[in-house]
Amino acid sequence: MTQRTDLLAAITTALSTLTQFSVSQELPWRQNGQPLFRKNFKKVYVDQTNVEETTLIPVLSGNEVFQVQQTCQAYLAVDAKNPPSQLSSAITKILQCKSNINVINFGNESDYTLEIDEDVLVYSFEFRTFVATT
Amino acid sequence: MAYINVSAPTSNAIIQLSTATIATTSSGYTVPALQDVTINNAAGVFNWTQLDTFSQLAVSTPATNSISANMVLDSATFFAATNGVPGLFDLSNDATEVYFRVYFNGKLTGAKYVSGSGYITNLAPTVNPTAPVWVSPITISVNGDLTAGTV
Repeated sequence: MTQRTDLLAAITTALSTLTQFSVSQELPWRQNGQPLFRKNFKKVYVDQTNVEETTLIPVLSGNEVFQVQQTCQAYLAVDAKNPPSQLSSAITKILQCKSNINVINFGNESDYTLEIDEDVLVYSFEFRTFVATT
Repeated sequence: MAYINVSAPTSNAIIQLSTATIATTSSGYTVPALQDVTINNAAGVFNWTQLDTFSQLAVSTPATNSISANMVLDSATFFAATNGVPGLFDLSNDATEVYFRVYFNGKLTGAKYVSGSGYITNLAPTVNPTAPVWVSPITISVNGDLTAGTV
């Protein structure tokens, strides 16, 4: 299972009780220069996973212990003039999905940034998981 | 200049252990995944002062020698015997005298090492959530002299 797959499943489950939101299986690709989440409000899009491998514990023999950081972003846009009543609940549930990412890890983090673009609120969530490999 | 560079794959700093006198570079096993190695040769000195001189006087006393290191635990050599030599935990727990060589820059012909014998102490395996791999310090408390040699 990849981090994106896990995250998609976790967000889908988390938002299943909220009637105003849904989750897309598509990547947030751009259509006519505009990402899908800017066109389809109240629908969560999960991007592909980025991986960064750094040295966690250097050793003299060269067989180092590495830290693999997987980063995945999710996006949600809503109408700034009429925000959905379940918005804050949705944000909380999405952030909590960091604990459902089903990988062997030693750290899960999530946060989001909010951007107001004309009359649209764009929430960009970022999920980070850390795995040690040898 | 002849700086000792350990960055090349064949010139790593190595600790070799055995329960018998080490005759070759393949005796016993090498401690894997060392994070650092320190050779301590603390020559003892006794100082005293006299009323007839402005400087302290000194006389040598026996040295305290030890090898200390930090390592990432490898269960193959920490718990299990390798090449007829018990694992590091058993060597420490059973207070078995070990013979060692500390190679400064690999085991190839011409490489320098310091050898001796002693007892493994100070094992303290630890792990924590931000570095979820077991690591431990290790000390060989040296019995007698350290001896420098060349492969």
